[in-house]
Amino acid sequence: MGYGSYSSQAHEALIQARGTLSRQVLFRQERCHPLMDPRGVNWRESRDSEVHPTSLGIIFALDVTGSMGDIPELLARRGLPSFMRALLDAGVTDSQVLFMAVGDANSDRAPLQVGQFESNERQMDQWLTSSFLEGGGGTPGHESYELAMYFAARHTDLDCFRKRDRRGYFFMTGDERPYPFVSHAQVAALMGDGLEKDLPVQQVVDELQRAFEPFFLIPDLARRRNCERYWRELLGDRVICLEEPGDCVDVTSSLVGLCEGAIADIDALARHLEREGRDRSRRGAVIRALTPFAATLGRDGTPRPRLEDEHLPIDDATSGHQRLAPRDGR
Amino acid sequence: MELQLLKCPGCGANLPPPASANGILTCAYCGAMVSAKGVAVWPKPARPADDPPFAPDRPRVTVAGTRYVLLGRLGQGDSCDVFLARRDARITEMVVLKVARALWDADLVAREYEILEEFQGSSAQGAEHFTRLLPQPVARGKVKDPVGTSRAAAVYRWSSGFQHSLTELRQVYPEGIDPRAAVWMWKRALEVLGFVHRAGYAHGAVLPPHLLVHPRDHGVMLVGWAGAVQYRTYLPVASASKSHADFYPEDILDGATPTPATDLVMLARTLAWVLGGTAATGLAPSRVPEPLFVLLRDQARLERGAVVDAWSVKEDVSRAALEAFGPPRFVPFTLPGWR
Repeated sequence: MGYGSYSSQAHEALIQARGTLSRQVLFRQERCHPLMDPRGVNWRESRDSEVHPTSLGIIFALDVTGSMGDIPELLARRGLPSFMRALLDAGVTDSQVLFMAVGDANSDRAPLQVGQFESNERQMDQWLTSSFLEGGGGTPGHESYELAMYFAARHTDLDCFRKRDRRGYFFMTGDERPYPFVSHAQVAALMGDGLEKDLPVQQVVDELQRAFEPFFLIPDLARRRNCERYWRELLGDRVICLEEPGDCVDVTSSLVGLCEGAIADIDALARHLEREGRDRSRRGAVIRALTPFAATLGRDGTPRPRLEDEHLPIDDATSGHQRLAPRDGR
Repeated sequence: MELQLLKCPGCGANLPPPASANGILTCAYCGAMVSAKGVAVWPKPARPADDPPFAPDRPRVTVAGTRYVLLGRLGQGDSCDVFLARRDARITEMVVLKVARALWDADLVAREYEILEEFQGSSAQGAEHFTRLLPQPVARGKVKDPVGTSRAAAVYRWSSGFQHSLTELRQVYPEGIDPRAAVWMWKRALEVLGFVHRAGYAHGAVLPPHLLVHPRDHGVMLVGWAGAVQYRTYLPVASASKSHADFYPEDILDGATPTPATDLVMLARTLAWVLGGTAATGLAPSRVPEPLFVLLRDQARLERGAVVDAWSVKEDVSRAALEAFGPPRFVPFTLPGWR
């Protein structure tokens, strides 16, 4: 896959036409689309071609349970063209996007749906809107995110990584924790893979990051509490807390820009967003969301803290604290 | 389906028989990964472990099973050394590592961590916003120092740009900082305290080393939570900083429970000091405009039982600033190294 080239105008026209359509009309699937069923899929491939000599594989794994269905809808209505345009502006010309829809393997009918890597707006959009927004979800606190990571780790093949040693990008949205193990029974039922035993989620992350730069996006601050700590143990500063789901597109495209070096630092990002016409409050929100990750890249736009070249202390120093006793012997 | 015995395309070693047709094998010799159908997936090792280590010359320490690279020491507090560190892995996390220098104070390290954990779980109004402005706990445990002594340690998430304490500001501006900068610092600190008080806590140690500023974004972060207490419990602060006795209201040093008023008094004294004045009296230098001077002085003398709300004090500060400087506008505040 990955034939055809991207046209921003065609994409905009496609989006314009659906302004008033309801979610039910836009995402009309009532079950997993047969082409998005992961069963028996060996590889999803992102390949170089004559039109796209330097392909870059990008996966959007979108949580479609409950209220998380807003994000696929946002992407379908207006987000995707601006994501692609922002990548073009950032000098990423040959991106290939694959959509996955993630649910809960213990209670949903279609817990994992997988599209294909596409560079063409019509096909990209087709996979996105072919997703079945089941809106279910099950066990409180968990969704089957680990299955999406497992699929990306073991069933995708990227030319950018294979030929050029450049990792693709894996963006996952969600507001809950993954199950701690990839269940061999679920993998067998969903994809037909034979695993000897369950895989710890940590190992799946380890395999995923061979070929991908993984990121987990939490859609708003109120939902941080459900899952942020857990995901941070897995993905460190790659857990990005948005202030509202609408910032998803600006944040993901800026992440690619920052990692690819097309956006020099947070200050440059602020100027870029201003040129794009984002208002002050949205610019601030995107920058706040990205600053911790930018700091790990050394691109947070602040001077390096003054550090003393010291190891841990070794003597038992006297304390600078005065211990206080309760008044009245309480 | 018959499964054939494969040879590793990387090194030629025999691979074990695959468990299934769709499985993936890892060569035990060279680490290559091969699909069971014989198509090389990753013909050469590309494991994260093979990435060059980050700053191989820097020391490593392990807290709660996670290894960190020490990037350098940010500073020293009354009982702890504070380091900037990052998780020693490709998928990393920048953290602040706090290690007890005075072994006796291990309980303070633990106490601070517990209180900050409670805040992260708080459901007080504004928690989603304000918990991001407090140190965010990552892990705690013991670290072994180079001579083998085990020390209490706590790991917090690094907040980019919050790297200057008010103590440092006074060193950079010995005559005192610009009063207009003091206004935003005061307001930001009052907002955090407003949340903290509403959650039922008093900080109990609002001192210059515990207020960190982000000079570009005009942000303030409050650290040093070992002394925080739930003010309805009637427990005293566990300890006070010997070198900052001037900043504490006298009754606190006698063992009284800190109240919201205590925090506001200490904040006013701290600001008076960083403006170039004296902590004990809360008197700022005379170049500070009258309305602010008066407000600082009054705040620094609040009675402990005074019924005060940080949010209403913030409005008083805004009013005083309006009177002193006119309508609010952004006035850049610079420190060495910042543009």
